[in-house]
Amino acid sequence: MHIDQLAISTQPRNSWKAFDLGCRMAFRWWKPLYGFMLLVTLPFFIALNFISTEYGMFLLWLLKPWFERGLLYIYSREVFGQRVTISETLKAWPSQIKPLWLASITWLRLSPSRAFNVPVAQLEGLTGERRASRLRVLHQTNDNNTGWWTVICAHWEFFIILGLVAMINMLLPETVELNLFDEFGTLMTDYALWYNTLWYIAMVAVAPLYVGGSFAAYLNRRILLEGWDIELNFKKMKQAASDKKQGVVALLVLCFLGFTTPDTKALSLQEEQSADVIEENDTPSEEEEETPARHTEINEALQDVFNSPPFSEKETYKDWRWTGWKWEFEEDKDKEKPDMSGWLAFFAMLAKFSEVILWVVFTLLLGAILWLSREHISRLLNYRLPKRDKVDLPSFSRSYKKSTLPRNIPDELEKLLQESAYRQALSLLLVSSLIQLHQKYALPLKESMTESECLACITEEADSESSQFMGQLIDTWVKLAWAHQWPASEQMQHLVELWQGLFGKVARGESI
Amino acid sequence: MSDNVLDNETLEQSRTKIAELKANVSRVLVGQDDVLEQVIVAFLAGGHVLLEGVPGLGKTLLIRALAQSIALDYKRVQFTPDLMPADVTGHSMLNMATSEFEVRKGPAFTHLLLADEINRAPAKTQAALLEVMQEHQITIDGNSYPLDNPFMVLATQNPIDNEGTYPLPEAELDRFMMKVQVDYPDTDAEVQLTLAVTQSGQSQFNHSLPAVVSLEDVLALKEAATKVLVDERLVEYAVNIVRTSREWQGIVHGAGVRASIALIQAAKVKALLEGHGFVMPDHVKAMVLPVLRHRIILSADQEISGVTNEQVLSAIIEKVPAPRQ
Repeated sequence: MHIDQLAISTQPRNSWKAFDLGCRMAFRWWKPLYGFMLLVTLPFFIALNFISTEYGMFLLWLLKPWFERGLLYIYSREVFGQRVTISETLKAWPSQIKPLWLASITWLRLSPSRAFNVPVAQLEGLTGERRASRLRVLHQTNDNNTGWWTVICAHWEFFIILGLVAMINMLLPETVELNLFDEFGTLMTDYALWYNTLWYIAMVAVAPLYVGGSFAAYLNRRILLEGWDIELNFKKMKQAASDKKQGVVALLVLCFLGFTTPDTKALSLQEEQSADVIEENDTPSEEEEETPARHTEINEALQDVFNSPPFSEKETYKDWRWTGWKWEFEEDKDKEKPDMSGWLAFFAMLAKFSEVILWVVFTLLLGAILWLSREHISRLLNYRLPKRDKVDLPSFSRSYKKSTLPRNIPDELEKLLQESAYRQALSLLLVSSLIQLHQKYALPLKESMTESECLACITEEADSESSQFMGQLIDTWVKLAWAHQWPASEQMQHLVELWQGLFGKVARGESI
Repeated sequence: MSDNVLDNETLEQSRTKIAELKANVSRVLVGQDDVLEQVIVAFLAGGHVLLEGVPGLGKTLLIRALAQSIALDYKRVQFTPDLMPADVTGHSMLNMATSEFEVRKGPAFTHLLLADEINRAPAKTQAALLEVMQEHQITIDGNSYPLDNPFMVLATQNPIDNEGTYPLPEAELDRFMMKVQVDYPDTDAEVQLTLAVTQSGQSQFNHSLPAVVSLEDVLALKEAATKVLVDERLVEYAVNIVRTSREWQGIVHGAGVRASIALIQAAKVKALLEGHGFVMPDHVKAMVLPVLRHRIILSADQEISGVTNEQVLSAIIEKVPAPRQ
């Protein structure tokens, strides 16, 4: 990272000026930014719309942080004076997505300052507690307006959509009786593709501005925290100095300033350790190649400066400031931790317990949402869910149900025929046949179906032989059940024989 | 064979007669087979029918054709806001010559009474039909006059253009055995109808239909319908459906006892019409929509969300298990 190659002015700004700078950056490097955005998002847009106009755009919206990674890659190179082409960005894109790839499209997706936070993971390569600590430092300012920047950009998207709809409405011939505002109000699926397209245009238009503004705010925070502007000015002074002595003095003052701001140094060191991506471009500077003897010399000279006025005068003043949960910081390990005994320990335990509970609730909620949406998800993925085992089959009879079927049906049928218990025999034939057919053809039967409805369903789904048999069986049953017409014994015998021929799998001693 | 059981010959004769009646009416009323069947079912079951549909779908034509096909007397009353009860039922007036009151019978003294656009008349005129429909008699000046058998009221109402109308009170709606929805015919039927009228150059109304069923035949058919066998489980099924409508989420007011009775009566005629001497669960199911659709009142949230009575009833049919023996 060469801050002296920065394409932007390193003066400290307030956050709004930083967002403005981000927009200007977007205008300056619009070719690679919009080129990349269109190339990457358009295939997704077409494919997802093809799959589902309802849920496709939701998926695209969910994946948006991945596309923004590419934009950030372009910004991070261009801002340090490195030219980036679209093809280079496309090649680098998969590796840019890797850090926090899942988190960025799930629980971090709704973070209002997500674009501001992304450089910490993507460019600095920080994860876990180190990333959290870094973000705490970056957000530790009264001028933190990154959330509002997200709101502003969302409004831009909305206004662009409204503008486009109004424009289409105005361009429509008077004879066309169509008001897109009304159609969008009713969320008609016929116009979902129109709405999706307009949203896509707005999204592509605003995304580079959003990422640019957030990245500029991130750089601005680092300029403020790490004094890039001061460092750069002294570097310029050093280059301007012609003789070696002047160079040493300038270097001394530079080092002195570096040592007088311990927090900044700590942050710089941490950043240097972790910023893998940015460090790729770094080359060892002259200062780093100094010998230890040279360092001692510098330290001694520095000490002399410290001991002379005005630095020897020390002034102490006290006031109260919120500095965050410092005792959690990794860099504060050596510091004395607050006394956590007594009620503080209780609250700390309570906090930990609450955290566990919250995670459990979150996981359960996520699971419940997925479970309740399983039909939609399966439709979206074009995957057929396995049918539930529990099916409310119409039994037509109170005598037998699926659960009360005898183990040996042929023997039971024979016994019932001998006893002339035709009602029970027909009932057994019906229930067992329906179960067999349902298992074989997955018939969409319901408990509320009548005999004729079942027969119609069987005729449609099952083979002709089974349909014919069921036709005879149901006809006999209907006459017995509703017309009170007793079947002849020959007819019953014939039905049992047909049943045995058809459902031969149900052999003696075998249950269904 | 017992007198209470239908023999095959009677069944076949009944089926044929009803089929002839349907075919005869269908000569002028094209593409409304379901409507015609439901009206015939209600007629033979001794009920009254409320026909709902936009103008121009042949509601009046249906009744006229039905009356001609059975050789029955037919009267039509156009309900208007200034129609008085006496205009429907009749009244007594002083005969100056004899100085005696004479009863002038109204149009309700007929076999088939068409109450056209019934919801355009005020409540008191609509209420005049209550006694007529329920008790098949008309009281004028304290004297009751029984109506001829068969007697049927076929009222029509327009689902649109509701300004200046008086919605039928629940008590009166309940007296209609069925509410029949008259929809536009399908494309083929509409083409056939248009061709028939344009080629003959004669309006359907000018067609005079021959009577294919006599008054005696109608009485015999009604008698046969009462003899159709209904198993007790089917009565339980019908009652279950009606009772479920009272407990259903989204229905503020479910169907009453009259609905269960009407459901079974209609199912019996439906069975007869199909040539069966016994009622099957399908017959009951088929009659649920026309018999119950006007007897339930949906909750406000259901109506606001656009749910129709028919959708709710279909859900009830899906929910109630079919009868088991």
